[in-house]
Amino acid sequence: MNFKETTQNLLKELAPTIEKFTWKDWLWTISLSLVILWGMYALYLQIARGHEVTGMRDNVVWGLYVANFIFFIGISYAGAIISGILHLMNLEWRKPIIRIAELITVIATIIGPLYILLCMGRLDRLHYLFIYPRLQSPITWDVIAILTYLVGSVIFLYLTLIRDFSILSTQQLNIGLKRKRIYRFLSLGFKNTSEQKVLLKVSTNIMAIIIIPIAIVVHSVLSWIFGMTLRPGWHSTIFGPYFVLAAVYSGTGVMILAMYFFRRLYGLQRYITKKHFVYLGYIMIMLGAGYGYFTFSEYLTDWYSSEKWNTELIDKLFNWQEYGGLFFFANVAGILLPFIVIGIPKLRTIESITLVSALMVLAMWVKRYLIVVPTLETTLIPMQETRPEYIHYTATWLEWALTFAGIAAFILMFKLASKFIPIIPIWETSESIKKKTSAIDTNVDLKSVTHA
Amino acid sequence: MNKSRREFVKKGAVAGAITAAGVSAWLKDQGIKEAGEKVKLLSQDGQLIEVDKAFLKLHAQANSEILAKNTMGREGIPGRKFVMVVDLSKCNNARKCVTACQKMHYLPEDKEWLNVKLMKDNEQSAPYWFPKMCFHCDNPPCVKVCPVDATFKRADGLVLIDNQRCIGCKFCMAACPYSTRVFNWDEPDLSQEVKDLPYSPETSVPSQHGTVEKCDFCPDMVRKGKLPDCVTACPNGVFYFGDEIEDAVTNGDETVRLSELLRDRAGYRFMEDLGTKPRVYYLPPTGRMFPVERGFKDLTEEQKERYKDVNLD
Amino acid sequence: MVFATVMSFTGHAQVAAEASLTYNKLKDNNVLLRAVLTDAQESEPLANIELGFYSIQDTISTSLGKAISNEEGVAVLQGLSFESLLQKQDHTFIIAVEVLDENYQLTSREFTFSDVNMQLSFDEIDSVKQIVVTISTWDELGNLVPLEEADAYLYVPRMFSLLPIGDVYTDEEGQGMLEFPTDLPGDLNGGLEIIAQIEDHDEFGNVAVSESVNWGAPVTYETSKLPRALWSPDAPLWMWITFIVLMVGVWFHYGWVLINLRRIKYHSSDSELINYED
Repeated sequence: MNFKETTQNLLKELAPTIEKFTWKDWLWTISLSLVILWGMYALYLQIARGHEVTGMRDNVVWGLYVANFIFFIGISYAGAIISGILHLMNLEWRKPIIRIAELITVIATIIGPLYILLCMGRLDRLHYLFIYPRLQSPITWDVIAILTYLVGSVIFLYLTLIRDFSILSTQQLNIGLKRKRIYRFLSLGFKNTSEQKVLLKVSTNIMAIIIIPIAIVVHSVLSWIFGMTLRPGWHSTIFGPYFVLAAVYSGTGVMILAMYFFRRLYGLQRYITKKHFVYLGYIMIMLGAGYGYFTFSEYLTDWYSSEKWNTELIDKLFNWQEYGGLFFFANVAGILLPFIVIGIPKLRTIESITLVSALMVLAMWVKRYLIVVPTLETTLIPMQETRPEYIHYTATWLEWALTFAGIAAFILMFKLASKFIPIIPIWETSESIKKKTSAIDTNVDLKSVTHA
Repeated sequence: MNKSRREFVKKGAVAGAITAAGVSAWLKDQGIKEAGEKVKLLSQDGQLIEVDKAFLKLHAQANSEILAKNTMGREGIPGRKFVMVVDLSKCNNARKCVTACQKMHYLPEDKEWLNVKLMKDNEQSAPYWFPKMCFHCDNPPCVKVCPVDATFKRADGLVLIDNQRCIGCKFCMAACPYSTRVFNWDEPDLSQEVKDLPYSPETSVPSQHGTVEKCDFCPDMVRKGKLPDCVTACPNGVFYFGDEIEDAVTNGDETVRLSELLRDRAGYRFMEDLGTKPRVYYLPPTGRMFPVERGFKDLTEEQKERYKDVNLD
Repeated sequence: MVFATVMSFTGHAQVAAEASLTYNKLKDNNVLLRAVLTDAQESEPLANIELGFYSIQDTISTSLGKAISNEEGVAVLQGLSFESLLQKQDHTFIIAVEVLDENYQLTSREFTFSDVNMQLSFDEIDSVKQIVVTISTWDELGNLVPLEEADAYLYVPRMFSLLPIGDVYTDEEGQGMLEFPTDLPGDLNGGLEIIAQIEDHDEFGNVAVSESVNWGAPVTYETSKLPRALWSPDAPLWMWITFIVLMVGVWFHYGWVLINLRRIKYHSSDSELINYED
């Protein structure tokens, strides 16, 4: 079978997802939209009545919104590894999953900063960030870095889509003429001529190389919003690398989750195989080792120190009555569990890996919450406050509504994107299959070969 | 010092603030040309002073109009570096400073720009009352992190907030190690007259919802040669306010040289090692005027609750 | 009619009041009079009562002005020029205070004060800078007589108040000296204003004179422009350089890629099919 036939076969398999909008799709869209609407109502209340409707007060000035922000920017790093690093290493097995990775990056980078907007007291003055910026502020660095990262990720995603757009626009597909025209326009008339091939390859390489330092800068800059502030648990020198590592780690977790769901939903068992889960799992626990090491180093150092503000924070985190439970969960589910499940061969199944990834992602969210809130509750001077909402942060239903709305928006955008673009990159995957079979007789059944 | 002598000194003091030379310098700094012609002005305490006519014209246009210009709010009073000294040996938590500040800035009862903490440095040392306000640091961690230049450091030492620029990101609140800033979580409950007052970072009135605010050392009062309200409201003369350049601070009754006061009474700055270089000095609570329990005398139940974790032994 | 007459005689009794007066001669020769009006029996301050102030010389009485007492019973008349006070040859003068409200009875109180001649000068004796205060009064014939054993207090005006620098006690020649505090910050040229005051004197009241001298420490202050720093409006130069280098570096590559995309479009062939061959 030649390349063209492989491509057409793959396209045929993916066609249903692109051509039709089934009742299942409607169900997903409507239920997710309801969650988002609920969030919009909460947002309306927040704008109308002010931030008083949230749980934030003068001491804990940042709560769920900022934790969500860090979380989403963190998971956007899925694209950074799979697309960026693995591209440069040119590993074949990653090819079916790059689309999912890139989509995670772009969508998460769109949703994450929305939470910062929710946290601002005066949204009507958002443009001041652009007309009166102060270069010395980590927030300014963050705004610039995230914008740059978003643009870069979109360009990179687009580059990987060009060839698929050209396939979609020239092949037999039951989609409207208008849609075909859009695909044709987006494909830039790519016909895989020799010049076009070179141009695309060079461009993709450039973006793959440059997206890595950008990604590192983005999360470092975000970490420095905390790392450069005089607060216990924040003022730490390792925050830059710590956050970057945590981001890449949580990115792989979300990657595995996305892989599992699309595999189930669209019947992509042939292309996303156990190998993918296992290999990503390996990457995950390698990163987890690094992340665990950083975490251990961070808390051991703080626990060993005698400075009052550090010990006060550590007491809070280790105390079962306060944050001890969450802290335990974040570290056990976040670091230990993945190790055990992926490390022991018998436990290594697609389901168990996915489950442990889900727990890990949740644990990483809890970890972000633990970075933001307990520190703000530990003031350097005695609080001497009687109002309970000023002493201890409790998120209100509004903040939870908007959190779930953000997650729903993430999933919805993913779902809608998968309807418009093939969730498995047709060109790359076909290339990968062809390479595998090129040494083998062309009559071999496709199925047996793709089941690695 | 008997009352009439104190009164006389006070009167002489205020008059001295608005001297002809002072007005000349101020006009020059504002870039306003002197008319050359002098007029006699009656200062608030019956002092007859001669000032250039240009000042009178501006003055007539209403002080507030001049104050409302933001550029003036950012420039600072030339040739001054304001400083405050808090005498901890005299504080007995009368809270007159707190209420005076709230009254002046139209703050509700539960919003305190100036609050009084009960500090106990370690288990053996005695607790003492600690009035805390914005320290207007020379190396301010809050100004460093503001993304839109809404909070700024002036040449006269003050750190002010322009609540018409503030976007409410609250980074400055997280960055201040002394937790001195407060936020307007909802629309402030102000009368329409207060809402219509012309705003300037120097008056910090009216408060705007969704923005940060804090103690501002009352620069609008200071420009008129008056001491901030907390200084004059304190019945025990705890607060000393003045100018570091001319080396004098006063609490309304007593005027002393700043350098001598800090030297003789071992003035220190709170959490000096943070390197923020605060402009408020504290005089240690030795030789106290009142026992610490006196500070609980007129407190409400809620206020007493605040200090329940401090061991008074 | 009899009834009415009886009423006017025995009508509501007048409240007896007492007054005290402080006389202030300010440093530019203006006079401020401060009267405190209290109820004679209960010693409570009487508010909102109009008082009249008069300068009396033998039988001549000139009105100096009126003032209304505040909640603390204090009535202040200010802005009087010293020359408006009628004086005798020995430079004493009488000020009378009268209650202008008929519900109150105050025997028009008269207060006698003397003018005093206070001079401030500066001298350097044995290379030590001194402030010299010379106080004299006038005798019955109007000749200047030095005033000995008098206290005078010395101040330097600061922004909000007067900073006390010391006091003097005059000798037989009516002179007192105080060592000048040379490290006190003055203006740009080291100029300082010194105020000498006699305070709460029974005869002289409160008298102030002032003189300026260039013996203070000269003070220069920086211009308002704040330096480039983390906390000032202008970021340090190295920050700007780093930022520009990074931004240009990254966005240049974006631009390069976008140009390549255009070139891909340009190099498109008209064929319907894609060239799948390697």
